[in-house]
Amino acid sequence: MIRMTEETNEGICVVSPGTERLTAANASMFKEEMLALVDDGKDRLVIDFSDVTFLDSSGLGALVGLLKRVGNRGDIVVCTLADNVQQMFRITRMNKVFASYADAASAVRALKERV
Amino acid sequence: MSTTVLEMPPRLDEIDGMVLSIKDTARTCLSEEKIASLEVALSEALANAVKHGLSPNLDVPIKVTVVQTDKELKLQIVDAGEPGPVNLFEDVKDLDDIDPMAESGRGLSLIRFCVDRLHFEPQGNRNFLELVFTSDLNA
Repeated sequence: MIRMTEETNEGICVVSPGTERLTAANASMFKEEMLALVDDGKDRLVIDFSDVTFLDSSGLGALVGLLKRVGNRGDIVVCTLADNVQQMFRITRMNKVFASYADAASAVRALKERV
Repeated sequence: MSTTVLEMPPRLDEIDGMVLSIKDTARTCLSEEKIASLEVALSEALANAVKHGLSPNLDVPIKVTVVQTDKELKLQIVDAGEPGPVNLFEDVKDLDDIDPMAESGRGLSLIRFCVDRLHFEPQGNRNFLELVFTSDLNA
C-alpha cells in the first residue's frame, strides 16, 4: 500500500501511506510495510499525508510503533496534514511526538539540517 | 424525529462505509467540526465492537441506529459480542494522561473526548453503546 515518492542523496525517503483512510482496517499492513523499509536501512523518513483524509487511533499506534523501531538511529517526521488529521495529532498529543511540516520539501529540508 | 437502522458485518473493512454513510446523514444537524468528532468517535466505537466484541459471532451484524431530532443526533451501536464491564467508560484516562509512546489504548478516551454524552450498557449477550452529539446548526 505504501508508496515511496522520493529518496534523496542523504538517504531521506518520502513515503505516502497510499490510502485516504489510515485506520484499524489497514494500519497493520501500513506498519509492516514501513517496518520493512526501516529494516532495509531506510530510517530517515518523511511520511507525506497529502492523500490521507482520516486517521484513527490504530493509525496513530502504527506510527508510534514505527517511531519506536527507528529509535535513535533515524528520524520520522510527518507532513501535509489535512485539518482533520492535524486535529487528531493535536488531541492525542502526537503533535509533541512527531515534528510536522507544511509539505514534503520543507520536511526534507528540515531533516537535512538535522545531520 | 427520524430513525434509521443500519447494519454491517463485524469486519474492520466494513467500518469506513458505515462511517461515511452516517457522516452524510449528520450534515443536516451538525457542523463540520462536530462531524469530524463524530467520525472519530464512531470509527473507534465500531473498531472496538469488531476487535473486542464480536470475534466469536461472525455471522451476527453490528447494528447502528441513527436517531436524529432537532436538538441532537444519537448513534446507538449494538454488537453481539461478549459483554463488556458495566464501568467500561468510567475509568477511561484523559488523553493527556496516556503515554505518548503507547501503541494502543487511545480508543475509549477518544470516544469520550469526541461525544457530548455517552451511555454504555452490557445487555445479556450484547453490548449497547449510545453516542450523543448535540446539534450545533440550528442554535
